[in-house]
This record gives sequence, structure tokens and C-alpha cells, in this order.
Amino acid sequence: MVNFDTFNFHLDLDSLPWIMKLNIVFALFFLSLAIIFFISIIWIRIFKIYRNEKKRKQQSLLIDFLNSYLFDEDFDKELEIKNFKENHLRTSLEIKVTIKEILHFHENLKGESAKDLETLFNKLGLVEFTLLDLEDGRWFTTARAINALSELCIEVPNHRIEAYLNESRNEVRQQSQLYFLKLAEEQPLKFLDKTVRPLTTWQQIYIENALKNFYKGPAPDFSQWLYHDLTSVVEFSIRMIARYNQFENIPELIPFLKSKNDTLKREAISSLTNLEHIALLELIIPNFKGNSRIIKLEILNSVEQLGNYEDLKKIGDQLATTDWELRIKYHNIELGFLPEKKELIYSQFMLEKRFEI
Amino acid sequence: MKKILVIEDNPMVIKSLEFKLTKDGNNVMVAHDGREAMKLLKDNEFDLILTDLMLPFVTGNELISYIKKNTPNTPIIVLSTSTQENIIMDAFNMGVDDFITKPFSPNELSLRVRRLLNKN
Repeated sequence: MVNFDTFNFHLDLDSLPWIMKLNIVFALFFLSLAIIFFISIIWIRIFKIYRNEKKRKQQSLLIDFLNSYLFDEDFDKELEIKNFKENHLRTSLEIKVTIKEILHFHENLKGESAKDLETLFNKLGLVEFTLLDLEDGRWFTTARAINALSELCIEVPNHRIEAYLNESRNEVRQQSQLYFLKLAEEQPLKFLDKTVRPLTTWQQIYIENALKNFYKGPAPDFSQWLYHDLTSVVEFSIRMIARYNQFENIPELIPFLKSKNDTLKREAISSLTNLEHIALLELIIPNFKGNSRIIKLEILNSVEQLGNYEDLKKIGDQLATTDWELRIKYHNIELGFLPEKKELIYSQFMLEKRFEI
Repeated sequence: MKKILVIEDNPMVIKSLEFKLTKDGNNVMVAHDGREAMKLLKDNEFDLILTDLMLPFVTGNELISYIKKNTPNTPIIVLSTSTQENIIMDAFNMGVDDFITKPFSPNELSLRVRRLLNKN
């Protein structure tokens, strides 16, 4: 039989040993931490559900509003815009969702509808909000604001965007570069004059893509940036000279064949090859041996595209016997020049490899 | 009233197409993926089909083959983001009547739909 007197739960803290007191303090501390953590999770979850629900409602309202605005001839545009502005653009969330949805529509539509959306963006007063976002200070808000301005072709004073051309975050720099490219009517790369941070590979790809797909004016003369302080800008300009077939700039590229900077030298060889400048081979073959491997590979590419078997043989004497990567490349090109001697060259190559001649 | 089937997975594009084509006086039905489209095609007859090429479950090309096999006279317009020549050529070789690239002009699309409906 159990004697209930033994279960006396009345705690006399003072009588407990110090280690027990410490245990109780820690237990209470961690228990309260766990409760706070649990409540926070629940609160964040509820807040998120509430926010998502508001977002969903605003989105569905916007889809109807935008479709009516764009396609319904009986839609009283002025009155409806006024009503929408007064009733559905009151909170920051509503404004953000509206901007996002207009951008989404603009992405998928073109022609008159796209122009109508640009007008609507203005009429709803979203430009002012975007300009506030621009100076928000957080990089992602700034990048998003610049993106909205460039997507909707909204022109703002140049100095407001120029300030972000040399931002520390790549994304902000990239968006400001795209802004200038998309809105330019001429001289789309003028922003390069004010660029002091190197162009990343992605930025170079985006700039090239925007030049091809968005810019409608005359192609810029890329030689104006051949003496820019940044290697990446010079490299990009050399490449673009070839992409845009600017043959008149060939003399400007020749000095780069003597450049101490391998990146620029390689780009110059590659561009002159793409421009099919035959005289290039006379300039690069005699000095083949003194170059780094990356330049040697580029020279071999040029010989393959512009030269003949005689040009290739001039390089053969300068090839180091142990550099297998270059030798394999050399022999592959040789096979292309002499398909009838394919078998012979292959046996010779295998023989040399075997005895490491 | 002409019956049009729109097969598209982008909700925004669906709503816009539905709104515009209904405004033009058509009866529009919507399928959000290839499977749903096949189900609708089994139970209904359409005067025109407007389809994307990148669809969940059944690709646009498979769907076009299916339509051409079962209802060869139904005109098809492809609405796609693809601008690659080979994809456009493949679609025409499969028998589609028109190809519109995204972003698209709703007015232009509406005209093309009307032209094909009148032709048939």
C-alpha cells in the first residue's frame, strides 16, 4: 500500500542544495525560451498566412482590374484608376503587389497593351513610390526599383541612376547598366565612361544581350573604350568589335597583340580571327614560342581558321615536346588540313608519345 | 458563338486570353496542362485551339499530334516564348496554322484568331 505522506510536493527552495537550485533556474530559463520560440513560430506563421491571403486578394483584384483596363472598351479608365488608387493602394504591401503584377503583365504583353501599362503605372502614382524605393538603402529594394523603371521604360534624371553604377553589390550595378541600355536612343554604353568597378562575366553577357534585343539605335563605336582603365571593359570592347563586324577598328586592335596582359592579347587574337584578318598570322606565328599556353592555344585556333598547313608547320618547330595539350591540338588541326594523311599522322603521333620524343 | 480552347499554364496569360477572347464574342474554355486539355478535347468540339508548347504532363508537340490525329480540321495557334527557328519550323511541319511569340500583342492575337475562325 502506498503511503501518500511520502509525496510531499511542497518545495522549500532554501533547503535545496545549490546544484539543484541552479538546475531549476536553467530549466525555467530554457522552458521560457522554448515557449517564446514556439509562440514566435506560430505568430510568424499566422502573419505569413494573413499576408499571403492579402497578397492573393490584391493579385486577383489586379488581374481583373488590369484586364478590364486593357481590353474592356466600356471601362471608365479615369474613374476606375481614381477608385483603385484610393481604395487599393493604401499599404506598402498593396503597392508592392501592384508593381509586381503590372511588371508581370508587361513582361507578357507587347504593343499597345504594353504602352497602356506604362501609362497606368504613371497614373497610379507608382513612379513616386519606386523613386522612394530607389533610395531605400537596402540593395534588393534598390535593384528592384531600378528594374521596374527600366522594364517600364520610365525615364528619371540620369544622376539618380548613375549613383548606382559603382555600387558594391553586383545586382544593383547590373540593373543600373541595363536601365541605361534599355532607355538609350543613342550611345547606349555611355555609362561605361563612369564605371570604375570591373564588369563581371554575367554583366558582360547581359549588356551584350540588351544591346542586341532592346537597344534600337545605331551600334556604338566600341573602339572608344579600348583605352579604358578597366581590363574587363577593354576586353568587352575588343569582343564587341568582332561581334558587330567593325572592320574599320582592326588597326586599333593590332597593338593589343603586343599587350603584356594575356586576357587582352587573347581577346584581340580571337576577335581578329573572327574578323578574318589574314595578316594576323604573320604577326603572331613568329613569336609563338614566347607566349603563355593560353595564348598559344588561341594562336593555334587562329591558324586552324585562317591559315593553311604551311602556317601550321611553322608552329610545329616551336612546340615543346612535353606539352601534350598543345601537341594534341596541333595534331588535330593537322588532321583537318591533311585528311588523306590521317592514318600516317596518327601512327607518328602514337610513336612519339610512346617513346616520349 | 465560336468555341475556343486555351491551353496555357501561366495564370496571368490565361486570364488575359480568356478576357480578351470572351470580349470578342467567343466561348472560351481553359486547360492548365496537357492532360486537362486531352480530357476536354475528348468531351468537346472546338473551333480553334490556342496552345503553349511548354506544358506540364503532356508537351505541346504531343498535344498537337493528338489534335491533328483526332480533329485534323481544327485550327491551332501556338503561343510560345520560343523564338528558335527549329521549334517554329517543327510546329508548322506538324500542321499548326499560326505561331505567335510571347510577349504578344493581344490585339494582333485577336485578329489572327478571327482570321482563322472566318477561314474555317
